[in-house]
Amino acid sequence: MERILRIIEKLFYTNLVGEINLYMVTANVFKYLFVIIVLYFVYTITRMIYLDIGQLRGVGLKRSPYLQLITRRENLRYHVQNVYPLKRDNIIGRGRTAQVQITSPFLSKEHAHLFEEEGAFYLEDLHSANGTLLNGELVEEPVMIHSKDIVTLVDVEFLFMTGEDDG
Amino acid sequence: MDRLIPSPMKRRMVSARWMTLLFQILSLSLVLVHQRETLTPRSLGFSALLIVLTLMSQFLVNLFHQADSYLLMITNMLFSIGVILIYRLSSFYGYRQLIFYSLGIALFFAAYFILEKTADFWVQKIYFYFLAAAGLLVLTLLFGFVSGGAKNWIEIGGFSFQPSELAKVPFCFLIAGFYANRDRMRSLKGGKYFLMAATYVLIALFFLQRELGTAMVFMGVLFSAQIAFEEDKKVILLNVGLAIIGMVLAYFLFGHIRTRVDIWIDPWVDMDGRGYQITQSLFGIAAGGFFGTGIGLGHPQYIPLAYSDFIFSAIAEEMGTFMGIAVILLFLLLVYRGIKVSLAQPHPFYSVLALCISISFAAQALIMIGGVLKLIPLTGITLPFMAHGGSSLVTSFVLLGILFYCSNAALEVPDEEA
Repeated sequence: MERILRIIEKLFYTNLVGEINLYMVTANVFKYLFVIIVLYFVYTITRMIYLDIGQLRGVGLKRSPYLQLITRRENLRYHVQNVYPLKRDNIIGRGRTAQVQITSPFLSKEHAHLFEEEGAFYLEDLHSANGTLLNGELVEEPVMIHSKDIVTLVDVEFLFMTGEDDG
Repeated sequence: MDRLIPSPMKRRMVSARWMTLLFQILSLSLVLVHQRETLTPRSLGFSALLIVLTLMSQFLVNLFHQADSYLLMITNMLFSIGVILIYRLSSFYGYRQLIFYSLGIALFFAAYFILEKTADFWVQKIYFYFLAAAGLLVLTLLFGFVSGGAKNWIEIGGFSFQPSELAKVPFCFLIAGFYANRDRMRSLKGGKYFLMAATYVLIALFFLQRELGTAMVFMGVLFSAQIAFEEDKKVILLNVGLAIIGMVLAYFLFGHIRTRVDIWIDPWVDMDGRGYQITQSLFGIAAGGFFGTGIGLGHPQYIPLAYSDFIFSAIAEEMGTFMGIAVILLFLLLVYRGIKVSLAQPHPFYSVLALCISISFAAQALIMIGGVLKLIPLTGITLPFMAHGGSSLVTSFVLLGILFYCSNAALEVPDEEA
């Protein structure tokens, strides 16, 4: 430890030119870096918030797949969003870690699995207690799902949209 | 809502996390070299712990798909800027601040889980919140001791803390409970004035402790909540009238308030005495210029309490006015996020609560930054998430945890309100 300290002392606090040492040079370079880093951080957060607001309005959804609620919200006793944007891999269920979380008492924690593989989408039931329906038929093993197919989770219905062809 | 994050946003989220890490590594290495007299394995541990805690908390927050992860990202950045400057001023206070940070992060998640398990328990207990807040303040009056001109410290088993900081939590719950049960309160005789009366009692207790800053924060939170949720305009006007009368009365009744105002109007007449703090703060900010003197090359130690009340001046001196502006922008983003959480939350209680918490952060930042810049009379409160102070930091993180819970989009809405 002593030796390291001496090296640091020598390296940073030896005068290079006149009264200027390496520490002063570093501190002066870094002060510009710090301002740039923190302002860039502010910029990224602001951009994210902008995208976020766009998402609230539905802007930016058009190109990516999503689930559109069909059931009238007034008929449901729990909170459901009108639109759930989808990723490549989505768990639908009641649990907190589910990407599509619906706090319905009828759903299992991990109820169904909606995923993309080689450009196509598939729906799979995760051995849920109350089952999953695709266009009215019980899903038993992974089935391909197309745009405008209807997914039924007990008492709530969604329209699946790939977001590519619909305006 | 942040339910599912589309990929461009995810990329930015990762890049924002990298920015925090980059800032921490660069500034820590600089500060460690500057504080070379106290360079021990302990200070290396300090650096590692700061980085690990920040990364870990941000990773954990991303597991909550429903809630708003920006909140903690912004506060982690604010905290990093603050703690590095505190460590540069005094490694002892730096260590302490980091210990409180780990406690704060733990309580942040604890607050989320407690609320999740008992979401409906909190909605009705209006009188309990008032008694809790008032109790904390009365306790300080009875058993407190004086430090820094205000009798607002209390000691239990060797630990001293400021109950007035903790009182913010029940106060925010009190307002939320009042407006969530508006109809029930209005049906009581004089019920619609209950919130105002309760707040004025708390503010009177603050005046007895000579703690003006927090009283102003409470007033600001009450006023904002009234503007947002009060339907009866008469109540708001009455509050404005009473506040103005109260301020004028306080100015003539209390000597120490007159002193504060006099210093604010002209600190230069008594530069070595009463005006010392504020003039040193102004000298510091002026010495910094746009980009600051560089960490370790300025003299923030001349500013009294540079590590706590005057941390903003110390930041502006060593990291520059631009960093000061960045700090204000970060607070703006935090408050904006909080207000968005409040607007998006369908549950009335948690919606009001989110607004109150955001406004309490905003009011504290405004009062403190305005104070050290001599824009408003200076009062001794802490800049949330930045200034040194255990009670303040821990309370801020508890409030942030509650706000984080409020940002949960999947809360169940009670039937009668739906």
